[in-house]
Amino acid sequence: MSIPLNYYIVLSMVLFALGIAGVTTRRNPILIFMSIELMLNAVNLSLIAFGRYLGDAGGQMLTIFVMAVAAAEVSVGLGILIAIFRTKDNVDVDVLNGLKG
Amino acid sequence: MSTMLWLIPLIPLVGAIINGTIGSKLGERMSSGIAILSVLGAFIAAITVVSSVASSAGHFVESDAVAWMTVPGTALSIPFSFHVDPLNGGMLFVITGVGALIHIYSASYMHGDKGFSRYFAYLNLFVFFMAVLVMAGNLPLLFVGWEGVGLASYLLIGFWQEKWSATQAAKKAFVVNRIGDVALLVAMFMLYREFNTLNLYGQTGLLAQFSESSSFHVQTGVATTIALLLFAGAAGKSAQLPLFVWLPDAMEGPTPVSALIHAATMVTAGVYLVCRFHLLFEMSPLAMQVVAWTGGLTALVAACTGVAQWDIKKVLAYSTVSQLGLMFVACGCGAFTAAMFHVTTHAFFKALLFLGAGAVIHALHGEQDMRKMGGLASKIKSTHLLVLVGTIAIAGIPPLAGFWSKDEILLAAFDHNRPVYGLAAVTSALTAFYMWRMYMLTFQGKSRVDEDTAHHLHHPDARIVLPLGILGALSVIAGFLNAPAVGLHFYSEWLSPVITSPEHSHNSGLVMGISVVVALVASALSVAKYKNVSAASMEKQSGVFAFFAAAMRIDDLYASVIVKPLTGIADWSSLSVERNGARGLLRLGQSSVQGIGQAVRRWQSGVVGDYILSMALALIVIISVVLITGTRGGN
Repeated sequence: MSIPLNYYIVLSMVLFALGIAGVTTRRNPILIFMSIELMLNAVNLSLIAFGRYLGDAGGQMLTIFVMAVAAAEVSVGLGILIAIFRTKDNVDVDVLNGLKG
Repeated sequence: MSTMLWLIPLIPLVGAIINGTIGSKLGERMSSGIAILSVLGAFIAAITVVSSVASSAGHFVESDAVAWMTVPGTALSIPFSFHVDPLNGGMLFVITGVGALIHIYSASYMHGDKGFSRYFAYLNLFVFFMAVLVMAGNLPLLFVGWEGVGLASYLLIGFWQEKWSATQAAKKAFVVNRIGDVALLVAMFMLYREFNTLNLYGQTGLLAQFSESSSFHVQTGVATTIALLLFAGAAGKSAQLPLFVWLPDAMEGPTPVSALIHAATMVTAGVYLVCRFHLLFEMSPLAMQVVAWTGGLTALVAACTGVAQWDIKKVLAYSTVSQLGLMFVACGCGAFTAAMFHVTTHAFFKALLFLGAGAVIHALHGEQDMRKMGGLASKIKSTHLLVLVGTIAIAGIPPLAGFWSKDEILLAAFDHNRPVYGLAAVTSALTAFYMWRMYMLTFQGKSRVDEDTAHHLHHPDARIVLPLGILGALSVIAGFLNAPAVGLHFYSEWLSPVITSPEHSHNSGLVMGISVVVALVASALSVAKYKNVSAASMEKQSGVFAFFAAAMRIDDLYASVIVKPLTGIADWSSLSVERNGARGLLRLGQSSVQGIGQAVRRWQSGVVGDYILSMALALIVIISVVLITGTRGGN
């Protein structure tokens, strides 16, 4: 017997909330990245669950897209991170507040 | 022939454009060459046009009318068209002929000036606008020329921009001229209302409508108003009371400019305007009286002022104002031929005197004060001789030009307006007096020139002497163009298609006798007084003399009556309206925007976590709203 859809949704919400909590509280950008990945995977999970529930392959397809984009995003993000570290000698996001109004 | 008409203004315009754009790269020879050739070209075109005026049946030449402005639904249609008849043909001769001579002179006078090509661009531009003014076939086009010469005059008075007094004088000339220009504009509006056209010539033109007295439907009151408004315009341009104050200040410009614009041509535009509209003026005895009296008083006031000037150019400037006054006396007495004749002869001898004065100033390296001149007769001989000719001509000693033209004016005044004749006669005496005073102080007596300057006198070259010589010759012979006393009537016959000259007066002999005696006595007195003038006597300035020297304090009068109240109002409004009113309102807007900005900027902490938090919170809010209201967009 299959697991009901509700379970997936609740798990996805929990994962997403954990991701947001991580992003807002962490100061190390690597950890922030990991939290973002967590949020993305929460969304992926819900997409696949809905896709399965509706019998639509679109959910899986979109998930693959998200993964590909996430991989690209991470590589760009890490590149930026290294560049910041080279110029500022620091990657603590609370210190990098150059956009402060 | 119509193409020739277009060429007269166009050639100088092309010269102005060339000199104005690439002139500074051409070098002095090319730049002045282009300017001189363009005015000479216009002169040749003018000769062709005027000779065909003489041979044509209707005594006029007209260009095609090119559409310019039309107002749909009304009769107002203003074409771009030129018209030359004997009256403005004579003016064209003076403008292009004397203009060409002054261009040649300028090439030497302005040598080495850093604005050399700019100067010639302005001068050509002036000739262009002046030609448009006199040739214009309708009033709006005339007004374009009228304003254009004002602009050229402004640019040339303020030519030495780095001189504060020059820029001030330029502004003054421009502003004072505006007063007259407004009157001219209003006169144009009224003419259109009365006559339904602004064209001057042709069957339905204004001049034809003036002369058809049967169809004339303007009451005398309206005619008087229009005539007076036109005269106010003329008084501004031709420096008559009370608007003459700009002309003496205009001497800040280079001397050839004073000769061309502020003596020979532009300032006579007012006389031309009055003569052009002489049919209208003749309808209104009151307007004629006003013109005659204004002219007479201006002539006298300016002549008195001229007696007390030390600056050689100021003497000539006030002399010009005074002579222009005499021209208006002639207009006011109905002797329009005499007025135009004096315009012509005056252009010759006043240009001669100005250029002569310029040669003196040039020789003395820019010295204009006659107290620092004297004894120059033996040093700059050719200039001395020619200035002497000019002095005799303007003093009204026969048989030079000034005598004949001035005599016609005095005769007309004697016949039509005795009190004004009195003013004019005194003016003539004063003219002779101050001109000989200028001559004696400059050329005779002991030299009061600085040692240093005296050793390095700048001797005039051919380009200065040649124009002086031609103008000198013209000053001698031009009078015989119209000397009724010896039976010569060329000029009045030439003008007869446009202006009918009055009958020959039987007072001619008497007036002429008085004029000759007055001129000779005044000249003799002046020569005697200034023959051995001592340097010390020039320093003290008695009451009347000082009063005259300051142009009867008319400038001060304007300053206290007009300028001071106006600056008072301006100061008051800058304080109350500007600082407390308008600026307060602006401050309010500015401070409210600033306040909001200050409040909102705290949000922008620069910490990424905060941003994400606000994003998440906003998302929660939006989703809750959507869920609670059940709206999903679209419906």
